[in-house]
Amino acid sequence: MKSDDGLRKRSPWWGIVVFCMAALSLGGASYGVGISARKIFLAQEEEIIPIIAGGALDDIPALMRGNLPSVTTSMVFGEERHVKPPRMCDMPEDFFEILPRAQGAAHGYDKYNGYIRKYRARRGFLHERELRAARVAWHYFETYTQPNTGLANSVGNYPSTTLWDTASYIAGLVAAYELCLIEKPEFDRRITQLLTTIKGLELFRKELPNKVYHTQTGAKVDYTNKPGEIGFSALDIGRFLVWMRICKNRYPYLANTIDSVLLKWDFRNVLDAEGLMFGAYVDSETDETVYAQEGRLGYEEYAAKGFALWGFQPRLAHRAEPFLTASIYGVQVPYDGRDPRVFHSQNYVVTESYLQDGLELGFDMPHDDSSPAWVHTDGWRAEFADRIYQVQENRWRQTGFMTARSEHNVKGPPYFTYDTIFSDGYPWNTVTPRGDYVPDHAAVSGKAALGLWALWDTDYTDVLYEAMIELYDPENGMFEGLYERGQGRVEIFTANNNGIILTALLHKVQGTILTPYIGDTEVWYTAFRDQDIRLLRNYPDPPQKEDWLPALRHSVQEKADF
Amino acid sequence: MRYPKHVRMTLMGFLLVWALPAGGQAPDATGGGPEAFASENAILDTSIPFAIGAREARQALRGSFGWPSFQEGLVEGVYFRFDPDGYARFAPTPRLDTDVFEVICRPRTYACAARKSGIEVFLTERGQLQLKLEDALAGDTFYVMEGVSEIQVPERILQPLDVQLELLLGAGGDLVTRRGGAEVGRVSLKGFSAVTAYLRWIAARQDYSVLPRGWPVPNAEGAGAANTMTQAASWNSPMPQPQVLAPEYLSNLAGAPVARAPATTAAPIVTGAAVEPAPVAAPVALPPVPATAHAGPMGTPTELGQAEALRAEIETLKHIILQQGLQSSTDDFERSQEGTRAPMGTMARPSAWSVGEAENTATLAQLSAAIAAMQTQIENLRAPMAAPSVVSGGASQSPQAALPMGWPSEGAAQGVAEGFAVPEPLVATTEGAVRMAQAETVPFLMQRYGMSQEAAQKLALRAEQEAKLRPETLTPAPFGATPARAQAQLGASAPTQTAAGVMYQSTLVDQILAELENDLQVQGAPQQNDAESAVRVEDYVLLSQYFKSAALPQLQEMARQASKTQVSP
Repeated sequence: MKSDDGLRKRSPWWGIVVFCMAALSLGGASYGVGISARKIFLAQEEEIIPIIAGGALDDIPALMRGNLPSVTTSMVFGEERHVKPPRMCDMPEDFFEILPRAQGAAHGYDKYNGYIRKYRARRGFLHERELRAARVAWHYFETYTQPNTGLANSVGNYPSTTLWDTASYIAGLVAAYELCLIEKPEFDRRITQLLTTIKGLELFRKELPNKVYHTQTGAKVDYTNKPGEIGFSALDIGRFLVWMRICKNRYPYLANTIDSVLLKWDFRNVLDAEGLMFGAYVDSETDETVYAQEGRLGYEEYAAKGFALWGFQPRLAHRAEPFLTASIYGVQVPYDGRDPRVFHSQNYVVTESYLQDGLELGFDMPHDDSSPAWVHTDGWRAEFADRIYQVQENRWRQTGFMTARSEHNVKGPPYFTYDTIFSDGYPWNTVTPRGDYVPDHAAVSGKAALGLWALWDTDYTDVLYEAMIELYDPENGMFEGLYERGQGRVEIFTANNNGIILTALLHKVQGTILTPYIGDTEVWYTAFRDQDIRLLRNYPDPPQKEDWLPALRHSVQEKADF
Repeated sequence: MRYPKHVRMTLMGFLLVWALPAGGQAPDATGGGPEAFASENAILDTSIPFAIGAREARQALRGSFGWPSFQEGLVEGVYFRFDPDGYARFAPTPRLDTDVFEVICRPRTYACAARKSGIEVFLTERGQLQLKLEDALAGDTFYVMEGVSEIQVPERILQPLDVQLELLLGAGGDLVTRRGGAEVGRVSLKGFSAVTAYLRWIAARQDYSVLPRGWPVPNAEGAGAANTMTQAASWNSPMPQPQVLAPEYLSNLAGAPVARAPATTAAPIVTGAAVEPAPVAAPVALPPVPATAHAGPMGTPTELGQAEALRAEIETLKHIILQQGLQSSTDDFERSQEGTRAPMGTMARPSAWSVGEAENTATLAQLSAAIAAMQTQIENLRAPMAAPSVVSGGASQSPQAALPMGWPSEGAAQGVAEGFAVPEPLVATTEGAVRMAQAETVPFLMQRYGMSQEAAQKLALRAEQEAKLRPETLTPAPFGATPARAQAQLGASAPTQTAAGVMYQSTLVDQILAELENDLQVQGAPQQNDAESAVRVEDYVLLSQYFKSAALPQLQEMARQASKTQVSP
């Protein structure tokens, strides 16, 4: 159709089509220019992440893992690592004034399942009375250490010992040195002779140290101290490993000797794949070795941490489960849930294992080398320990019985008792190893009383302190305790009692006894990499973050439960 | 003066050296401690159950010493646990927490005592139980109380207990002590019977046979039955066994200790000659036994060749008999009645408590053999000698019956040697003789005096009763009497008999026996009761002579009165 002036008239659709075509052309051109420009201006070299040998991305073969450092919290979280405190005689006078304190930290679990206790530990220099007690306690070891072997008698002049009591001797030795009761030549002489003897001990069936050794000869003996073999105790070995780690970390010059001692041992049967600990004994009829689970709530976790300090992974042994609670004086006291009638092993609750965890390990995880002193990263252990303390104070307040319960020797039959807070279904049950109820042997244990005094700074522990600090015989050491029913002192002297008392006194001065390892790697982890010995004997690799034992929490008792 | 000074210095030096280790080691530091677990102190095998249902268990030890095993169980209503050193607790609750009898043994011995609050029970040297009450004073009275009922017990509960008192105390209840009517002490007797059985079981080295009748004993399980099955002494059974003599009595009979104090079965009662040496010790040291004592009964001894051996054996026998005679007491009879309740033979004697004296067992066994041989020899020697016999009422008797009454027959002597000896033959012999005399008396009266049979029997019976009442009359040896005592009786009568015409054909034997009799009379006399020791010749007077002297005057008197009666009307 044409208009009057002769021009043809375009329809609106024509315009729209032209416009769209123009837009598409411009868009295409822009995209093309953009792509081209991007290619030209943003071109980069292809990223390649190299895998460095021994680095994080390197899946290191087992034979090479010994070179790895043990991963601790200071490495992972970038926190400052603890440092070994100086000996008491080397401490500046204001040492405790500048010591970091928990100011206003509320008690309870933190988000990492660490636990801040309601009570604080005592810290400070030793007073004269405490120093005198320390000297007397150390005198036990001076008196009853055998010059031939360097082993100390477990009980007085009876020449036998266990690894548990030998660890107590090492505890006394470390404390004596750090409290300046002895000097380094004496310390070195004793510890070197002891470690040399231990390295030379004949093992139980070429596995691990026998339960008992004769201190004069170093020969393995039975419970009557006659030549023979009994088996091994996982709990004793666990405690010994704690003190080997303490010595190695505090005194790096002993590291090689200590490693060589442990590298003689065979750990294939003491821990299973689940991380449960097993002791061994000899079947009297077949003479074969029998492995049996060992440890109950309290001791089991403490010993498990000893193994964990050397890279083992006792995951099951470190857990509180199975446990139950018994309400005593308003406190839910935790006890092992394994029925003694079924397992034929008593589930006694005593103070000692919690004390040792608190004094030596600070209720911390084995991989923790950086948390503040008032934060206990093995939270539930600290929280359970608070209950153990509280129930004993409550008993004192409600009955008048001064209470600090632990296992202890007694003079005459039955010679040894578990003086428990709870066992076999009964509170305040004082039982013999075979299960007899012997309330006449209930006592305020010296080691328990002074251990509580060191870790719980309260009025009640002041009373315990007054009862115990002068309970000694200058010639023989600290007495085992004070009978609860008024029969006087428990007139027997043991390595364990004196060793723990020295540990408690050392804790007052230096805090947690375990200090961080300051080296990079260890012979313990690098030895025998060229052989199959590590595999056969179940020697561990340096623990990495994924190997850490889990920090757990359990329900907290908010109010008294009567 | 130099010399004494040196001596003094040497002594001081010695004392110093001797004292140094003791002082340095502080004996008080561990006294009663770990040393108690030395293997030498293990006196019990915890794998041998004390009663049915008991089990050996292991105990988890935290320290470096202790007993790795113990035994626990339930018996007679009380729970118990004991260690290899004998330390035990008995209580009515499984915790062993209340009303506890605690048993503690002296180290390395079988001397044990059970204690409960205020009471202590232990075995005497002779194996009897004895109580010690802490609060008891002279004049106190004692009662066994059960609920509201009570029974007074004599003060002799503080002396070695007889079987009746032991049973009474073992029945349970409370033992109450009163002073002036006021109660001053009360002790529960719960577990008394179990703990006393335990004490005896320890003293007998875990021999089941010393346990009371009805005790739930396992069938010798774990007692090493394999190598002792053929030995009667080792047979044990939970079933009640015939009542037999107390071992003490048997040991007296045999003049030797009883092997392993078997009291619940008859068979195990044997002398040391019949069993292997058992771990028992002689009460005191005995003289060495001649070598010939090891031999059995001699076959045909020549007079002179065996004379010295015979003399030596008789010396040994005398020694043992005298010793046993001195130790025996009047309660032998009671203990023999006691049977299973007083089974302590020489096991519980003080010297036997010492483990170290067990080696004397062999000596005792040899002595027992010697005794048995001796008795056999004596019988053999005596048998032909007794041929003339004692004439009784004109009736001839066999050589056996012709022996003096109370003399053990050859069979009895053989039984002693074999461990089966009982005193019944002695009693039977005496009663038989009396009956025989009575049977002879009646026809004599009927024929000689024309009495009716009824009157003659009554008269004979009366005469017999009178004879029994007379102290001089021969009475059967007490049940608990020993062969020594029986022979002592014989010894008292033998010279008389010799005077009455009993002639020994062998002067050697005559001489030896005379020596023996003299010794027994001299040394054993204070221990004998009149009734036991005084056997006189009148006992053997014929009944006819007795009748003449005692009954005839009465009869004559009766006849006289009867004739008067007949005349007077």
